[in-house]
Amino acid sequence: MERDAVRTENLNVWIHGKHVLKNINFRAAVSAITVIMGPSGSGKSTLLRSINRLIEIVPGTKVEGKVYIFGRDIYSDDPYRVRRYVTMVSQTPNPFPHMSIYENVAIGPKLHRLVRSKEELDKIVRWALEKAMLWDEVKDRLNDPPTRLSGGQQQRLCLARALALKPRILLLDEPTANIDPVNARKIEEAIKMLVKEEGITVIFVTHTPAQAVRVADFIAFIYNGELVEYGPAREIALNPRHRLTEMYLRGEIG
Amino acid sequence: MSTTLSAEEDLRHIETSLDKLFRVAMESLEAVENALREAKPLDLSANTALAEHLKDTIYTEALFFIAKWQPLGHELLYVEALIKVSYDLFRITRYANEIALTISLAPGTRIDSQVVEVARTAREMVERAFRALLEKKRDIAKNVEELDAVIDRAYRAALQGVASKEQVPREEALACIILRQLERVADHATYIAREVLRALAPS
Amino acid sequence: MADPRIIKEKIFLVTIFALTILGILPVFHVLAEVIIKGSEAIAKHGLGILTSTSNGILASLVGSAILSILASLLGIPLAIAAGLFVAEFSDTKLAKITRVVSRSLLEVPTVLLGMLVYIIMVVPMGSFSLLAGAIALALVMLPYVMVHVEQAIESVPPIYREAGYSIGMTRAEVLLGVVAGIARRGIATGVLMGFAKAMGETAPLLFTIGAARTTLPCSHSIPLANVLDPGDAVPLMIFQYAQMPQKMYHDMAWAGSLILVAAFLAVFIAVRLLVKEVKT
Repeated sequence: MERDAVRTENLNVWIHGKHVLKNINFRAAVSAITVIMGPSGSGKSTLLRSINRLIEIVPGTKVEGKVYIFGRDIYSDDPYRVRRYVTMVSQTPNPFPHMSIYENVAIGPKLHRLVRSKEELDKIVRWALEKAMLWDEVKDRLNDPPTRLSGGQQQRLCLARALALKPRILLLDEPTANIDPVNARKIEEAIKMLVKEEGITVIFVTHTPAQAVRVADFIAFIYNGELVEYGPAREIALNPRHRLTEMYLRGEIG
Repeated sequence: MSTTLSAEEDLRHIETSLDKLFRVAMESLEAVENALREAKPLDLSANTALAEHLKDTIYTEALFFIAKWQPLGHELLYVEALIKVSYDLFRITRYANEIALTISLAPGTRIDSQVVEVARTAREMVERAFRALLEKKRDIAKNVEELDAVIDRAYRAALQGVASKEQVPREEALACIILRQLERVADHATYIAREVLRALAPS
Repeated sequence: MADPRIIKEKIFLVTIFALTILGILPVFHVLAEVIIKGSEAIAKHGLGILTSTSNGILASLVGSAILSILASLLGIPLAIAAGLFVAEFSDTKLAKITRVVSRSLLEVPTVLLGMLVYIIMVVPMGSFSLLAGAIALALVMLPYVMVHVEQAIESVPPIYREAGYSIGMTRAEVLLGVVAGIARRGIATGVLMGFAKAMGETAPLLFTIGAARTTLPCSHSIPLANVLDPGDAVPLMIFQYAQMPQKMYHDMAWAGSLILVAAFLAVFIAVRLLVKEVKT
């Protein structure tokens, strides 16, 4: 079995002619949390979005190189299919405002026909909400619109929506950047639990070194579109090899 | 490396490593007791190497813990205590090793049974102090400091005995050296106990 | 002595308030006028003014109903489809062309659209017809509804598209299930405005429906074929009767106005109630 859930090979991305990712050889181990850390504009979100091919929805994007997911080159696959087992949670909480809390979670399994009956759907919705640590807060108001939830709860709803497809890889783009610290901790905890209990592979983007060190098993440091350093979180935190990494950890660049 | 869920879980990991180190120290002290009782040579160099390795591991783990969770208050003090205690346990293993070397230099020499008694007390102190740390019990720790005085007295008496004589028999000289090492062991046990009193939040 | 800033603020507020009143006053005046004059007319002549073809406006009412429904059936699906297309594929050439054409169509005087249909349909077929009128009205509605749909779609923040794609939705699923869903109130409002426009337009009908004011469109045995008959519409009737010297015609025009205003209000209120607003 392939040890890496995700592996990129000389990945280059241009957006409107600008070279955003340069020769990236990134990997993410199976059933672990790999953090992509770097200042804003470093290309970390672009790297994340090239893993589920979401960068393609922006016109003017050019991708070169390979992205393998469990050994399979996804750029020769159907992008919509890839995004069923590589789901993503964005930076700003974006639950579908025209659907109920329940429908937000149910929409994925329903569209992709993962369930055969209402009971099965109920079960999967409950499972996803529990895994996102939201079930207890919403179980009596599943038909409410998500706009009645707090920002942090909305973000956990988005996590549940992404989980309902039972993805093998979960991509998180600064999922706690726009919410309060208590909810942020809850999300971090939920994610670690998912890795531990469900064996999901997580790739987590953040711009704060503290959060990177707190959640990561492995850290990839991206700067100016280049992968500067990659290693176990402990190595990066205590013994970074590159001067840029050291400066970034100290908050001197960013 | 495996994903851990919480700061507590990471702390348990460090405590587990520390407990391993503790066992190495205890095993060494017990071996010393037996060797003294039976006047047999002893080699503890493997234990010492293991203890040093464990101590280094704990240093790294604890440093990483601080970087990762950014603890404050008594949690921070507790991590510091774990670092200091790992050093104490390493030193204790080293002193046991020194005693083993001393015994092995003069195999067959009968050492006074009072020294064995002191060795037993020193071992008990280490055990109590460490238990106080892991079980987070301040009262057990207080007990350790009282025992330290007993060992100090024994060492001082032996030292005086040696100092007051023109010629010292081999047994007595060895006993004095060994008591000096044991006194150091007891000191480190006391440091552990003090660390417990300092780092544990008053309940 | 009061702070001059506070006095300025007071003056500002009073001015704004007064201008607002001035702005909405005519609307209420027109409404009141129509309701009073319309009710008077109906009270004077009885319900027959509405239900008769000889001494009433039944043909206009029936014609208007057929015209607005038929025009909506023709124009709205096309307008929604075009609006969705232009908003979603905004960077394609076809979308850019569609956008320019629709904006131009919006500026064309509606009477010209009536002329156009007259030339390409009424003349070759040799007769005025409700269908020709409906096509002219559909042409009026089309760019109008389309712009509304387009704007409603474009006002949906891109984060929701990303959310849809993030869970493996296809482009069609994202557009129809997510974006159009969030924009549903905007789209419904656009559709409604289009429908209202079809009900209220006069000019496109001048050369297309034939103002058949005393007969109902029922000369064919197949019901649907009756749209090929000439017919009438309430606004056209009002426009022409208002210029007649006789009081009776004026009364019929007022009664028609009342019905038209009531229909407007009913449709607006219904949509407000039926389509829930999506808060984002």
